[in-house]
Amino acid sequence: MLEPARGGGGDADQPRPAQLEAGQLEAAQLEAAQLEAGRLGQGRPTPNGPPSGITHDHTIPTPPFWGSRAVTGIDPALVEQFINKVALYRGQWQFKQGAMSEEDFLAQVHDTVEPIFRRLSADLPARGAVAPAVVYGYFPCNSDGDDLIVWDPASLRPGAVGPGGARLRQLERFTFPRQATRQRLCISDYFLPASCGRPDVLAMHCVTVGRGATEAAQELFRRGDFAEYLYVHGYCVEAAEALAELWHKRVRQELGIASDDAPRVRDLFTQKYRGSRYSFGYPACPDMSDQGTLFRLLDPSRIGCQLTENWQIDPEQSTSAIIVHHPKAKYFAI
Amino acid sequence: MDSKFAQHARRRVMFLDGAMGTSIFGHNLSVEHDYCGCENCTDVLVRTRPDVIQSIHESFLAVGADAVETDSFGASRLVLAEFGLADQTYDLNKRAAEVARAACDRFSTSDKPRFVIGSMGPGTKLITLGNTDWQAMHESYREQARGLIDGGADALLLETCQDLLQVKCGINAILAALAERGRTHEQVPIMVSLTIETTGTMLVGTSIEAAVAALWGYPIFSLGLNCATGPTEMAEHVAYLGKHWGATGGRAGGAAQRLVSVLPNAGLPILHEGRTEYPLRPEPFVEAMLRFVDRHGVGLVGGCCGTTPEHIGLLISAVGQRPAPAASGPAPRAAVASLYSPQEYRQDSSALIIGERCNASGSKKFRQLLEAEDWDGIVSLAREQVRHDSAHVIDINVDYAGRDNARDMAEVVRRVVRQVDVPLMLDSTQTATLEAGLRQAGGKCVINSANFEDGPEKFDAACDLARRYGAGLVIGSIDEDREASMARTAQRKLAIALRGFERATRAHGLAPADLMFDPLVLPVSTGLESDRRSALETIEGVRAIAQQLPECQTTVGLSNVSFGLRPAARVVLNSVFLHELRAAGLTSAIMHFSKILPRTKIDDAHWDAALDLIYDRRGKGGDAAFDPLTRFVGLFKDSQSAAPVRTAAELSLEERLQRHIIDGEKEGLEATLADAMRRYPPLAIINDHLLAGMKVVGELFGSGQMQLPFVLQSAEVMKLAVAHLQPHMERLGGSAKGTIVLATVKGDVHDIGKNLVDIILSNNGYRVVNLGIKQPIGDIVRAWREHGADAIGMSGLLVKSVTVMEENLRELNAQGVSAPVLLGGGGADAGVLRGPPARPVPGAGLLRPRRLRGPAHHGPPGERARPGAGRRDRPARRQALGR
Repeated sequence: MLEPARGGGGDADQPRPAQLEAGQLEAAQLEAAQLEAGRLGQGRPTPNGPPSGITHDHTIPTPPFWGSRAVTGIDPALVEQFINKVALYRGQWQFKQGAMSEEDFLAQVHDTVEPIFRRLSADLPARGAVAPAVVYGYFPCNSDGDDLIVWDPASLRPGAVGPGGARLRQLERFTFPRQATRQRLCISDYFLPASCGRPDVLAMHCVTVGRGATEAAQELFRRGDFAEYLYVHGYCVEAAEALAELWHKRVRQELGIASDDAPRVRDLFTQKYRGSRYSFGYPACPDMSDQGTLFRLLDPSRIGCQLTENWQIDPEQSTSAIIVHHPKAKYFAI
Repeated sequence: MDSKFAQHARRRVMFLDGAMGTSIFGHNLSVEHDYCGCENCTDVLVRTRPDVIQSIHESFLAVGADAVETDSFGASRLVLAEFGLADQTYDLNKRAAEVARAACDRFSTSDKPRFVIGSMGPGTKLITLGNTDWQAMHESYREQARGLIDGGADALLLETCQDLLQVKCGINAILAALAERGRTHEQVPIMVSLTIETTGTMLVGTSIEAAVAALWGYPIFSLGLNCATGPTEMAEHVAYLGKHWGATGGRAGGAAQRLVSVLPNAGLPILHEGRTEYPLRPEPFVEAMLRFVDRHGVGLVGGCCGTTPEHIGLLISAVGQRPAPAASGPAPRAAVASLYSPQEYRQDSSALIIGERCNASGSKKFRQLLEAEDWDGIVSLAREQVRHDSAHVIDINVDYAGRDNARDMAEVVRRVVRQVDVPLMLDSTQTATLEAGLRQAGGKCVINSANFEDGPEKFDAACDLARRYGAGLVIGSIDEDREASMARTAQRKLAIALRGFERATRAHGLAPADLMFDPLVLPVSTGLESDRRSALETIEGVRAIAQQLPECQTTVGLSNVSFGLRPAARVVLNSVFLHELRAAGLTSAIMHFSKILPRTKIDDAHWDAALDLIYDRRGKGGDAAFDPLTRFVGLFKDSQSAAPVRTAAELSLEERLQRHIIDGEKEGLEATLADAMRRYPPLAIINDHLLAGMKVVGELFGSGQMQLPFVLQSAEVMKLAVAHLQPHMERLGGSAKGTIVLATVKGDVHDIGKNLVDIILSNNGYRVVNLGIKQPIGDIVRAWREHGADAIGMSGLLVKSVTVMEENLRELNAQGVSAPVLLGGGGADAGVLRGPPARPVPGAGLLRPRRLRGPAHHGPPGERARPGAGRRDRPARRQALGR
């Protein structure tokens, strides 16, 4: 299996960002003293912009609403369209070319694999095994050094952020790691700093194809339909991933930044769109405990999602992410 | 005489209305009073709030719409039954039409009459998905159509169609209702509107091409698209319809212009304030629609969900008065269709290959599968013919005495149609069997066959099926002649074909291109004087039919010509015969194509000998004693090359046991096991033969020659075999090589990897205690003690789970658990091993955790490919599987 996260963060050759940024503490303290709003300044702000040099020359999009919403009754056929077939066929189902000729392999995909896909696409939603549901939301936010402050939308008023402004109430605070070398990127850099006096927008979502997916797969495993078990499990995993991709597109549409999207769905799988989507536990934000913060903000229990003690989502065929609209935001590894 | 609606639509571009549903939701209606407690049952509003419905109709008529759709989208019996309103079906529909009629009457003038279009939605149940059946849907639609007709609808519209069976059933139901009322489809035109999802196909997977092929023969006034998407997303499908459906011709009797309709949503829906909204403004909506009218010859335009009087009004002023589009091109090439895609009757470089092996009278294997009701085996056989025999179409014949043939046909077709992407030829002598299959097939089938053996009535019955279910039809050269009903001469073959052509096209209105003439092949191999010219007469029969009926197709049951000969001789004779038939104009053949050799693969002596036999060249070269049959048979006297692959029956029992496992072949497993039990005790069968098969599977997988799904199929067979043998064994589980406890660790919900390990181990002779997911270490230890297990396996996906595994290992050490531990899962990579604690395993040294490669976890793409992932896969697989 591919591991979504690097191990523990304890490797000696990669110092913690905190150690690197030590020289800036003074500046941070200075600025903190000037700030009135809440606990601004905890995130070691840097007066001359972040070390990554990320700037904000774009218009900050306006979300259609603030706060979060639960959406159910999403058409599974729509989700199906966003399924990454390469990931499904080769990754989940393990149909690999191996020693076969290119021609034979393509014939197998056409004659054997595609019909399985079509059959499951028709059957699983009908059996309730794919019942897509989403919670998503938009929150005012600002960066504060390596931190990202999420404000309470209820406290949002025009010109309400930053030094001297009316106070925004802080709901949550993420602390994202910064690359020690290379471009020294940190997710927080993609958002307007609190010092600029106006809020940015953070989108996030948690999606699931539901508990029925797990149950359908388990039933097949129990019955000894092993190949079908693999197919159904893999389909549902990729359906969850497809739902995340689909809803990310929806968020871009709602933010009015979807005009940069590649027209073909499969190009979306390689980030041919504006911004980026980061899941906790992956290289840019490896800390899984941030899931807890996301769950407090979105309350995915509304669509049946719970966190385990290790911050995994139950049921299995679910995934969550924060969505960044900054045009420069792409995947990177700490 | 065409209806007034049809006359107007054929003269000028017509404007339909916009959204009914979304308009209704704009009104503040009471669930209790207006909906009678049936929330979302908008169809009941024609009774409770006719004022609201009429006002919606009028809002569209006021901006200039020519026609409005009745508020009866969900008023079929099947849907109303869900609200307990089934008995109101007729009344609600009649009322819906009357309300629309009243609105139209207020706006109609002699220059600009307004029309009522009876809306018939797809309901909530589809035949192809198995939610309902043909009969129930037919009744449901027929009753709805009756009400709409009686209420004064000018046309009926089957809309938002998601399944071709639904369309076919709906058309039949409407025709039946019209016939009851003494009306015809010329008087009340039938319109069909399909829904192409954002996926690019209909809900069940049908492409627009397949839909056009399947619906081509029906008396459809207009075919179009509505719902699911906005106009932009429909563009390519509209273009296809404009080019291919908009074409004139194809129907017998000089059909009139086929019209294309487009009624998109106001864009793709977005969710806002918890409600679905359609964002596309009238201007961009109209811009796209104008293109459809200008470029693709769309003659009927309107809107679906989210389109308002503002959209329709702007559309009308933008398009203005303009003549109906002219025919835009040639008719599409005649085709049949699977549920998913079309298949043209005429292939460019070969005959249309019709697979012959799903035939109960021709294939012993198929007969056995049928007897065992091994439906999956039948699907496999069908699929194999596509994969290995290049079949374009598959013949299905379940005629087998003593079984319920109609039921069998339905069972087989229902499965094959969804799992195999080729059109079907339904083959039976019984009308009921054919019909049972046709009611399950959403594409366009061919019926095999009609003939005059039992007189014209039975011929007519087959033609009637072809018409009602929109199928092609094979017509065999057989008639009522008591002496020789099967035509033996080319002349009689042609004469019967011409008679069949006349009757099928004139009396039943079938399209010439949908007729497939089978001149009948009789064996040339018997040596009887009457059979000597069988092949020759068939070739000449094909030539004559192809010349006289050039639009029609021809077909033969190819291998019949060589019946009774040695297999090697059959291969050559069949191949040469096909070659000659093709030259004479044959368009298709029912055959086993992988057993056909090209000219270059047959040596000249064999080729010439076959030609001599086919053309009955007795006395060739002045040698009065020359007999081509004797000569041909003699050439293959010693031939063993007939069966290049040994059949299962030729393998030894031991090989057969292994083959079942390696091939993942469930079919015939019980018989093989029964044979094996006569020779070996059950335990030996498992340990010596079946497990030997699994070992090969493991090696094939380890060396990359076998893919995981096939390994799992092998495991399925293993499991079945063991389950079959267990009752015959003295003690259960005694064969186990060892016991392992498997668990996904605390806090982790991922179990596919662990379950794959379970499948592989338990079907390789190990006993597996699988505890499931989120297992605390205490439960794992308890299970280990309870089952006296030899090993413990822990699995988990995320890095955090590896930390849990480390804690668990410490706990196991603390409790003095001596068992070796296997770790697996996403995070369990080499890096983990560098950390503590390496556990000493008594007697085994250090057991290094290994990874069995399983499917990838989901997460943002682009982050999938992690350096180093997978580098340990190969040895791990071998270790896990190859034991």
